[in-house]
Amino acid sequence: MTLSEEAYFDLETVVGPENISQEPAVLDSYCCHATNGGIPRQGLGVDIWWKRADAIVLPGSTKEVQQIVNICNHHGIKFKAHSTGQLPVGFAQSKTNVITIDLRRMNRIIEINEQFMYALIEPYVTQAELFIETIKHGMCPNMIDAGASISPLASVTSVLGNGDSSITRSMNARNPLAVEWVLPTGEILRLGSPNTPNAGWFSGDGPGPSLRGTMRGGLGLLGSRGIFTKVAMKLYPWHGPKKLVTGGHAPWWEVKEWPLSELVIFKWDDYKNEADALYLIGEAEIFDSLGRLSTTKFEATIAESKGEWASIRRWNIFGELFPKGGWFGQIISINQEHLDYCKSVLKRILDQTDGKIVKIEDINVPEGTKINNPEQFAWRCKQIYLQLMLFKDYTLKVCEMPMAGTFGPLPAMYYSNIDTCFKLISKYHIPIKSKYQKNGTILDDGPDGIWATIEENGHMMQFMNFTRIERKDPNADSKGLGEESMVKAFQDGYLPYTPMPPIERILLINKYQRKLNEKLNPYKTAERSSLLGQGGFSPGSGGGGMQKMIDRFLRGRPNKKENKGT
Amino acid sequence: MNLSKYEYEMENCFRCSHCKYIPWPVLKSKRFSQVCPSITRYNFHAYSASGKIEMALALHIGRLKEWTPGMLKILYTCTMCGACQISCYPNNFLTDVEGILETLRQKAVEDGVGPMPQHNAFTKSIKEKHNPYNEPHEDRSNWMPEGIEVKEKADLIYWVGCTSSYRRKEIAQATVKVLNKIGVDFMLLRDDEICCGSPVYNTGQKELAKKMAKDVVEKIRKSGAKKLLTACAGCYAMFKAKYPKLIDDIPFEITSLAEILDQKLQDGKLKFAKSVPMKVTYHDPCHMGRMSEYIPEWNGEWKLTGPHIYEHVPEKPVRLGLGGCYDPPRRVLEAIPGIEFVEMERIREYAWCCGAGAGCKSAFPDFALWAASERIEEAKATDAEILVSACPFCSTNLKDAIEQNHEKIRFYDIAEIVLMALESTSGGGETK
Repeated sequence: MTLSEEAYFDLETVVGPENISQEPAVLDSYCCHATNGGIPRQGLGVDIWWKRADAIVLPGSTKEVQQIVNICNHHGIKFKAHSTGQLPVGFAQSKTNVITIDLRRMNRIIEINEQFMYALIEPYVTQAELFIETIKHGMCPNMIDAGASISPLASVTSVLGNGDSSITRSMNARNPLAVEWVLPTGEILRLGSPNTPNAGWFSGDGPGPSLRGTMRGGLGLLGSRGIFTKVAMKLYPWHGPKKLVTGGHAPWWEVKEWPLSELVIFKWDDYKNEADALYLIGEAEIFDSLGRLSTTKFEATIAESKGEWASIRRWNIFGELFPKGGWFGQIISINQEHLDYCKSVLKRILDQTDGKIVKIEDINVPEGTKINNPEQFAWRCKQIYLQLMLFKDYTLKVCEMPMAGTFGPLPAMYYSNIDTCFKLISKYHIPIKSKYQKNGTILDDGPDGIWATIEENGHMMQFMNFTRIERKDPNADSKGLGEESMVKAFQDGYLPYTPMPPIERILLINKYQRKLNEKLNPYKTAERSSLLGQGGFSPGSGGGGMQKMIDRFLRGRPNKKENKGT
Repeated sequence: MNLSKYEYEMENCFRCSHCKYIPWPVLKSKRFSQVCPSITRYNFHAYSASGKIEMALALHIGRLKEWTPGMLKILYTCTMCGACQISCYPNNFLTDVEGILETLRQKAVEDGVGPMPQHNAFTKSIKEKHNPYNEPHEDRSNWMPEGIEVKEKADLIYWVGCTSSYRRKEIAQATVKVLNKIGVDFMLLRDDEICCGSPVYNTGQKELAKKMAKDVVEKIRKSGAKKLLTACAGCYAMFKAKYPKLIDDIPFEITSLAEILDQKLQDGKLKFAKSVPMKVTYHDPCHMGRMSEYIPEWNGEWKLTGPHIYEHVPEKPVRLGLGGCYDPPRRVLEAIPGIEFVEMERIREYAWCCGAGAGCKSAFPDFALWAASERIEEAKATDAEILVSACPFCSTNLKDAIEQNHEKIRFYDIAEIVLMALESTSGGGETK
């Protein structure tokens, strides 16, 4: 603990004694995380503990955030802010002289503007809360697949932000409008229209300064460049009910379907047909939400206990049904004619591309557990995917169950056009995952665990291939898998979690980002993300594990001309 | 208590924050989205179930070397209401939140740092005077109104509970009047009744609670009762969900006034005669709802049962609140002529706790009142005139909040409302 008494006093003066803590148990609760840190390596196990901050501070307003940043600059303290804290990107990275700023007290939906279709929100509003409040106004945000509790502000300002609804509501990188941003210098910058008196928060590009590219770039910098305290997030039309009818009991809550909504599951037997069909589906604009299923996703979500999951895994019914994955879509229509039209267009596309509709009711569920009742089984499937489509409940179960900390590393996200994504799936993801499944270091749950979404009706696709590793298994080792999958991709000039420019371009971006960092973070008090690098996943801002891997690869690369890129 | 058996589970909290909110599928508004009073009031993650699990793990592995006053505050500003478990489980079936929190309290006691001084004070009173209020034991039956017919021997015994005996006498009085009016014979333990042990169990004093449970069950066994009725939610959960974990044989059934009334309504043997024209909402006491579900102790182990398959053997049961008493009080209220029944947003197994439980009212009274005030706000949002519940301890806390905040809304126990509906000009409810 290196925070000086004077610095603590200054911080306490701003937030009050109730909102600052150096209690060890409080500090520990901001540095323990089962996921991401929990990737096992053979013989070494896992470490779920991160670095401990010197203090946790809970500001209640933008003014307090600004004062905290000024104090940090004055005393030379590093800071890292986080919102709901689901990812450990907001955890402290430096060993000493660093504070964590938990934005939990800043949790207001300030405005839902029907005229300009945006919601003005603070950092700790969750996306489920935003969804339930905006549908009351006939609008909704893009819902990213990271779960109901995540912060939309964090998503739109700092991460790529994809989800099943991205097919119609884009990715969140493209959904921020005006932003309030406390720079690492302590200045408050409001991007776009709020700088003009009475203009409102409808635009991030003016009247006023437009710096959205600087703020977040294409991929997001995971909050490593200051603290976002308000964002106006773009909303889209919502044609479903303004109030959902819900019921049921844990662990299976029920959301009643409504008449003009249709959930459809379909699949192809080869990736070429699948890719062709996805372009057509995008062009046809028939789905409100669309997501790719994988066997491993199905198995985890349908189970209500680890024992039940183990039975389902052994049955492998989903592996048999979806050897090459499937897709789950929700059509939300404004009238019956539109609904019929969407369904008939889908049928035609499936006919053209050898696709098949899958009826969950037809699955032959083995005897032996309480889900062997076909009706109950089908109900569960439907509810899970309805709730996933709507407000992302069960998402964490998809990612982390039935063993936490195993959401990787092969799933490292790839993001490109549909053809390129399928090329990567066929060339790297399936063969590499199969190899590690065969040697027993990861769970053999089928090679295709691909979860994917389509952005803006087919312009782009984002995917990740789930792997599951039980760290109690003596063979558990995901490190080799991760490194091999990344190096193979590097060899063809691809990088995870990027639009995959050639590595040379990444290095140019790096220089640009470093220059920006020098200007925006002159005192170097804004902490880099604790996930991978200064810019988090983004290799562009350098300094982290990803950058080191790139550098290592480049040093050992035999022939630079082999890098092709897209 | 050893946290070892929870080690894998403690390591598997992935900080999704579901434990802070009601289950997302039943969310109605942002205003009433939170479910945990502790994190909602204190905001640091450590006050959430997830944060307390991390504290338990840090203690278990020696990362936190010793207890501090701050850690005890985090531990004991939890009302042990169980709501976090209900929200956590659908997304993380690896973690027995409730088991970890309960064990952590027991560890604090074993380590000699828990419970809080205020809890020690009521424990002393329980040991010496058989009630946590430091009241003379000989005054225990002073609540009894005149003119009540109590049988010397009956199949049903009315277990009054300490709070109704000493602090919320009107609930005990209304209960016996209702029983007389609907023609249900009952007996009482009178001065033989003692504290059921709920306050000591919920503050981590399991061994003392075990001893008390033995004494209580023996007294009831001697009375010959086949069924125990209690109008106290704390006692109800203790008898239904905790006693079976503490002692082997409980030779009587447990029921509540709401369940008896509901059964009579279902059987067509009760009809309320008097109109009670009120807009009413109902607060589910945690101990009548999710915490009254009995979950047997699990004595299995985690095993690798295949490559990368590590599971409970046998499967571990977890409390999901399904066995709580939710419908009977609602059906009773809805059966009363004139009552317009409206629901709050956080109900049944995801109800917001009033804030009084597990020692919070005594050790952290401001926090308890704050939590109750939040519930009052929620009740007011329904436009109800009356807030009804079925727990004398919730009653105390909610009434305190109403009084402190000068609210217009009124609180009644379900026994009092039913009594109003039975006390018609023709001399009571119609029973068959």
